[in-house]
Amino acid sequence: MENYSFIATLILYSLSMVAYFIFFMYRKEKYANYGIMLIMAGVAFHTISLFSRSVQASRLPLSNQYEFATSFAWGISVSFIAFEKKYKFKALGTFVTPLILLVAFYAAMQSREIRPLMPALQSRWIVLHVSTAIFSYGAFAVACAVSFMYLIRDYFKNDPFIMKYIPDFKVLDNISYRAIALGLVMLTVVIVSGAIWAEKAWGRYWQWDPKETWSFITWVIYAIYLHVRLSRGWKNKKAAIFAVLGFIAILFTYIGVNTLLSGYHSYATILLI
Amino acid sequence: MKKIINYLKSMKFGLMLLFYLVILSFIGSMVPQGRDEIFYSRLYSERVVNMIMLSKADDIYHSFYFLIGAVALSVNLFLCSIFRINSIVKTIYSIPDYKVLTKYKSKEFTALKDDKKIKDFMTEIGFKNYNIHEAKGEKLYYGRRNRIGYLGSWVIHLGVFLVIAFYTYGQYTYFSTAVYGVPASSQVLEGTDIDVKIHDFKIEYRDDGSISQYISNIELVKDEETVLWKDVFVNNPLRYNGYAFYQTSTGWATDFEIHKGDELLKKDIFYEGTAIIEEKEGIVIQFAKFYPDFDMRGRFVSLSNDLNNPFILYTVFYNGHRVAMNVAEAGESIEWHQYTFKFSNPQRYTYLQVNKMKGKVGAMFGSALILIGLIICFYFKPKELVIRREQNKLQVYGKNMIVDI
Repeated sequence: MENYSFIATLILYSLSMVAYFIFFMYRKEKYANYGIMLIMAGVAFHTISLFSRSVQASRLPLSNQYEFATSFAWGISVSFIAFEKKYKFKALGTFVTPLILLVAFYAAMQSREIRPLMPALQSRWIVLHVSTAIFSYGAFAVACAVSFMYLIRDYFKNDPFIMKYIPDFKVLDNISYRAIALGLVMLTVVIVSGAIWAEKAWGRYWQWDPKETWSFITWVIYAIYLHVRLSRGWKNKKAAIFAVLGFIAILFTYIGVNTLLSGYHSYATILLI
Repeated sequence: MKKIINYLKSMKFGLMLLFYLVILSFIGSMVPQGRDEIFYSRLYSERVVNMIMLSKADDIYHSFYFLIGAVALSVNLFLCSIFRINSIVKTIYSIPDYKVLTKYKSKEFTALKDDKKIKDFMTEIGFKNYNIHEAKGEKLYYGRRNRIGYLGSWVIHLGVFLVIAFYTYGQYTYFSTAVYGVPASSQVLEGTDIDVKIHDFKIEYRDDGSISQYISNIELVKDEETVLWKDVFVNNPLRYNGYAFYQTSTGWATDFEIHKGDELLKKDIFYEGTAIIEEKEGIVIQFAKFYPDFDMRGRFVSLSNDLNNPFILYTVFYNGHRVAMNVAEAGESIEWHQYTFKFSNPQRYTYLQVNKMKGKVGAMFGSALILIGLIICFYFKPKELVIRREQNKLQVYGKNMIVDI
């Protein structure tokens, strides 16, 4: 059940991305409507996949690379649907669906074997720590996509299609700001809950493990973004570039650190009991 | 002096310091931290190793330049917090300056002919408690909502300052040691009069053979009286008087005795990976590796974690030279010249990390302030409304009110 629904999810997300691309390239609005319908269907299958994984593993699917990645993709999709429904601009999907697919295919490349939790992960803090990370990263992904739209709109200033389907700068900037604000609050919860958990498990709430360090770096990047935005009036192109860079840092924190650097979060190799 | 203080408390300086710390953290995440020089020699060229060692990039978070950055940021945040609070309080309680607010136009405003209508209007849009100020022929009706929002960024700054200050304090007063041993052994906790008795240690396995939990049953004894006795497992440390005992590792140990002829030279517990040195005799025995279920087909591997066929890989050094290396079955007598030694009674030992870290409550309080500050900052936007009447002319000004009007 989990595997079939996950494959269906990947297919639906891929078709959605194609639909959004056709909409954007050939400027046919009906494809954007197909895109959102496909994403919603994808989320439904994705939810079934996560639910059946939870039932099979007897815990929430938050404990290894595959589980976090698939939950992360689900988080972006849900955040996207929420923002799309609230602000109703069709072009958003063209920019968010590639991010969803990137994370979903990263999940597909990981081992899907259900393994019981190692002792260090047996903590009630895992639910708060990882679930807030999913929504935090999801919100930052939406901010990145919206900021990318800002840059596209800025580049194609005189294109009537862009003018029609990509909202004006003020709206884009405002959505990006709100998404980053939400993401930063969540990221703070992620860091604080992780620190409490680390203290309970290893005796030090902060030990400059690469994952912790990169969480700190991303937190500071977004903190600087908000500072310059609120105090220096960086509300336009500069803020959009900053938001895109911030999400690149997020991707590195998640994928790069796990694959390139070793530390206490490298659960593939057991460093601690 | 004023110029210096102004610079030290400025946002520009704060942002520069944050950027500086981010760059150092980036380097710290790329260069493995706290390893020996030989470790880096295996990974990098000689030139890079020299650079790492010279710049102390191998322990960047304890380097003087990282510390300077952290202290400077603390000073910046502290000064910023001190100097800003006065103006924030003034903003909260002063009459809003309508000249910097957004001016609204609406036909409905013309209906606000008298005080009662204005009162109803203010109440309707959420400004039940508003003030009236009259001066120089103008009358201002003004109200504020979400005033706490003005404090958001200040609370975040204070929180970050507390986290840095208490974390630094914790780092520089940090005490860390370890206690370890096989069941029924005891050890004095370094620098204290607390005796740590290890009563039991067990590893719980699941049906698939994976480890479910490591559990040490330990007792703390002070002045011959039990002060605490409990099971310590991962995510469940024992805490006493600021010390926290964490289950961090495990390994194998055996009883060991060495004879020279009929004379017993030494009898002790021997831990895997350690060596027993008999200086007087010039002999060193190294317990290189333990195989609980040794593969008898000649491969140096253990077939399981169960004690089915325990073997020990040992090395003998004599006067600084390696003279023997072999595997021996647990309980087997090994002879080398006039010496006889034996590894017996193999069992698991537990390794507990003992830390005492100060400032945790302060850092936690700072973290809570950061979180509260962020929520205040983003979700309690201060709203201001000013209705200005000058003779028969009425104008409405506001801040963050565009949705409501």
